[in-house]
Amino acid sequence: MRSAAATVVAALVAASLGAQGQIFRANVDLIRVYPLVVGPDGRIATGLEEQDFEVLDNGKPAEIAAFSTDRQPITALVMLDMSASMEDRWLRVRTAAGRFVDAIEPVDRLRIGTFGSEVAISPHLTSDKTLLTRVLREELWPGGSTPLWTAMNAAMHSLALVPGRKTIVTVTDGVDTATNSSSTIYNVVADRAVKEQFMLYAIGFEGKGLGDRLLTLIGRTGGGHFDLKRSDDMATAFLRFADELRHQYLVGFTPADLDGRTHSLEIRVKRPGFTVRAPQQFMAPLRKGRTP
Amino acid sequence: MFVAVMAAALAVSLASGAVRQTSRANTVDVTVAVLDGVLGTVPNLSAGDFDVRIDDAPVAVVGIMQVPAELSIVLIFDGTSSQPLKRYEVVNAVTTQWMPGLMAGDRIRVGMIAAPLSLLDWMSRDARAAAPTIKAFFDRAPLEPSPLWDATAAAVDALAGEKGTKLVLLMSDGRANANATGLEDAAARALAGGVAVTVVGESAESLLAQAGDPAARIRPHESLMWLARETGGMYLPDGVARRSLRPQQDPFAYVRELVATPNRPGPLLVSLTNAMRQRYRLTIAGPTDGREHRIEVRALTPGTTTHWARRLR
Repeated sequence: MRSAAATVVAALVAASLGAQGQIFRANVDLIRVYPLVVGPDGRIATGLEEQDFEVLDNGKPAEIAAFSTDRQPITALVMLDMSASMEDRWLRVRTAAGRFVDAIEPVDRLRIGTFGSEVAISPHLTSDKTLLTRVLREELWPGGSTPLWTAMNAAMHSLALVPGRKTIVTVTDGVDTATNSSSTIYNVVADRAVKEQFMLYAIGFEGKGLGDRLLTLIGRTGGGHFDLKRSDDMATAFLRFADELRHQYLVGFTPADLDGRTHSLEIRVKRPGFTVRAPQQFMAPLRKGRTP
Repeated sequence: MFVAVMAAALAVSLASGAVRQTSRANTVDVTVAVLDGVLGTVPNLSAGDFDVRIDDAPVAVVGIMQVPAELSIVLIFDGTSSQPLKRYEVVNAVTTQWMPGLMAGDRIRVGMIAAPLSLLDWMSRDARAAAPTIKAFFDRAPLEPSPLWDATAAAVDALAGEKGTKLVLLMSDGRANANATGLEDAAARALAGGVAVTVVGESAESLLAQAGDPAARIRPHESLMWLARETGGMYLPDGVARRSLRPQQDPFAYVRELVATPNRPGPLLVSLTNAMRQRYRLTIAGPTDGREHRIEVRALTPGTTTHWARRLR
């Protein structure tokens, strides 16, 4: 049930904006998600329209209040695992991350972080390739264990105040081996991922692969992952992520119940053979005066 | 030859001490340390003992004097977890060896690099009074980043307004990360502030085998060496390269290695500080175009090394 206030706001500011493929009926309780659609041919499907989508909030259809096919700027933090078990891939990781930097466009912004002996996140969130390349050249140091969840939490913290779609791309060869209370921190990260609408991507490696917990979170946030074989080019995975992020749709809706709770979410495309990758949960805003 | 002629024409051979002679030409001052093989200051040098070049062109030394011995030092310890020095090693080095060796008139601040740099207030050389504060101050910062260049820039800023020789004394493994300021920016800030960065290096080169690629050469100390060289400071490596084990590999072997290979940064701190204490100020016929120039200074005395800030404006 839509709040009266939200309806009024929506009615007042609703507008079809000029750009083609872009409809916004903005209101303050709008939830924005960025689904990726794959067509029957296995390729990223572009060119779909609002009426092709269906949104299910806690299993019930929700009206789409915002829709865009416009390319969304990439705002991403690239977290690179520098732990001792990754040492023999150090050059590959650095080179591949450099290719990702090369691929960004002026509207995109990247930040680079590492985890191993330390969890270090560059303060620069920028499209300045010279600066990003400098970080890759000067600030990647191999060694240490794998404080994966501490690193993810720090990554989320560093992007917390950034508006819009927020993506964390992690390159790692395994599970958290450093955090004493990794379960506790994992729960914090899992909670934040949904509440703050992060989109998680990861690159893992043949053999060890990505941990189940990370894969669960990736699925829940609508992100993606690669498990690279030894001969695979890591840069290809980065570029695939960039391609996906550029071709996601923006779908906005107002939750039926503004209860401040976690809702299940399903985004569907009505055409046969199309599959959607999107967040499976979201945190509904809390209506003023209600308790969660 | 040219230098010798110019020096003869423009300057009398100067004895040691605070004697200075300048020509009518536009001049600039360059501060240099000249050290022998055991890091002792080489005394009694005169203008004719130096070969100075700006942008590869020889220039005349028209004056020479010894810089007053008082030092203003910001000592910063990299307390992050990649850095192999133990807390007790640092506290011991600073409070029982380095501070007692300071001179009356020296002013020091002590800082610890975590994120961000935290600095104690200015203090005297009274180690006994300062020890409890320093002991409580130095701590490990598990998993925190190492914004070395931000810390260096902050330490340079902390020296603004100080008189005499200004020095940042850095104890680090060089594994810098999470910096807002780049290495070159930090060096430029030090040069502009007339601050020499001197380093006790806690790392060494290592080779990493790479799957499918040639081995990667990891040289975290290289940036520290460059920073010291560029700003007129010095770099001395500590003995930590011998520590090869990680605690997670074999905790008992790790402890045995620690006991067997104690680090002794104290004597290095003392040597570096003393080496920077007795410096010469050369007055040279310098460029007046307001632009930045590379400067090379060599003491002609055999067996000596010369340390100077490499850029001149």
